[in-house]
Amino acid sequence: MSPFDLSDDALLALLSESIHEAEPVPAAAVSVAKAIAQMSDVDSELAGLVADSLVDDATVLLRHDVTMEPQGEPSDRLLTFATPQLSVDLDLPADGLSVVGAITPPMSVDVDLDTAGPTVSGRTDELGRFHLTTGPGRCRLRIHAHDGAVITPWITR
Amino acid sequence: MRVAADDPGGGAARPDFAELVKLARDGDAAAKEALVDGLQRLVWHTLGDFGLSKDDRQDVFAATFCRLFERLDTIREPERLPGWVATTARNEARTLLRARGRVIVSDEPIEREDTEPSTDERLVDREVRTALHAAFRGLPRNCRELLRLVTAVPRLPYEEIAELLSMPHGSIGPTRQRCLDRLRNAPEFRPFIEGGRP
Repeated sequence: MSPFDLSDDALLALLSESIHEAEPVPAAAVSVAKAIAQMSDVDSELAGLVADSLVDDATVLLRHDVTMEPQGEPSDRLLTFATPQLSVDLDLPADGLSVVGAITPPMSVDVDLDTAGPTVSGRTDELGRFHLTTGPGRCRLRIHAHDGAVITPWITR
Repeated sequence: MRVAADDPGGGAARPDFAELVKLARDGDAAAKEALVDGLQRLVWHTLGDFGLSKDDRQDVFAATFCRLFERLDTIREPERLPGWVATTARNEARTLLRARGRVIVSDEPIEREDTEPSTDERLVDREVRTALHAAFRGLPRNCRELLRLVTAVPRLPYEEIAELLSMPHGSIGPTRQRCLDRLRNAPEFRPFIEGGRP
């Protein structure tokens, strides 16, 4: 008898261990996932995507998904999200280092940008405009509107 | 919990995903953490055959958990969460590759990651697993994808694996058999088995 019972099941069990051992899940990745898990969006209204400059409009309406494939050369990406109460236009420059936007109707409120790293906070001016400096990577905007918080889906940049 | 007759044996206790999803929807922090713990291995390994760099693999890993917690309220069959998560991980990987203007190269070898051996294990077992992983890396992509899903923790029912790979349910078993035979006979692994097939 071989030291290893090589029935299919035994080989699969050994393979499962081998893959897990050779490709361990990085602790840093798990930490990020747990941070994402705990970002509270209870009581926040999720704003729906209504326009994305990188996506065919018909597809957006069908899928409501902000991670559809971008096409063409890098340029500013323009996104619009809306709830019945407000809409927010986002301009994501191709360099990935900032998020510029405006809220309609205009109001001066606090906004937070969640990222995989630290959350970036700012405030809109009286015209509803804001400019947040951030790093590249996924983000979502939280708007502390007077009649309740609004949050966008995570945006893939 | 469903137990498919064609599942491989072994493995730790499966978390009660339906219960964890229910608690997490109510904002239970421990349940959210348990979901990450229970699904991290599945997500990471599902992303192994897309030719992603380690950084990209981490990014897609994070994106998958973003989607999970964003859509927690809309998941209809929480008891099938592992399959949902594996599907989401694969979709997010493809999205990233498309954003980069890349296609998945069919037989691109996966990168070897250097890992520190732990001191409390028998060296011989370690050698066997290292050899088996080397043999696995040399398999065609379709075999690697299938075997990753078949060996996933928590386990995926074969009907969900068939859906994930767009394969007929009935062809999973024969393909699995063919891939396992290739693995047994791979030059990296054969020396560790007595009487490997010629």
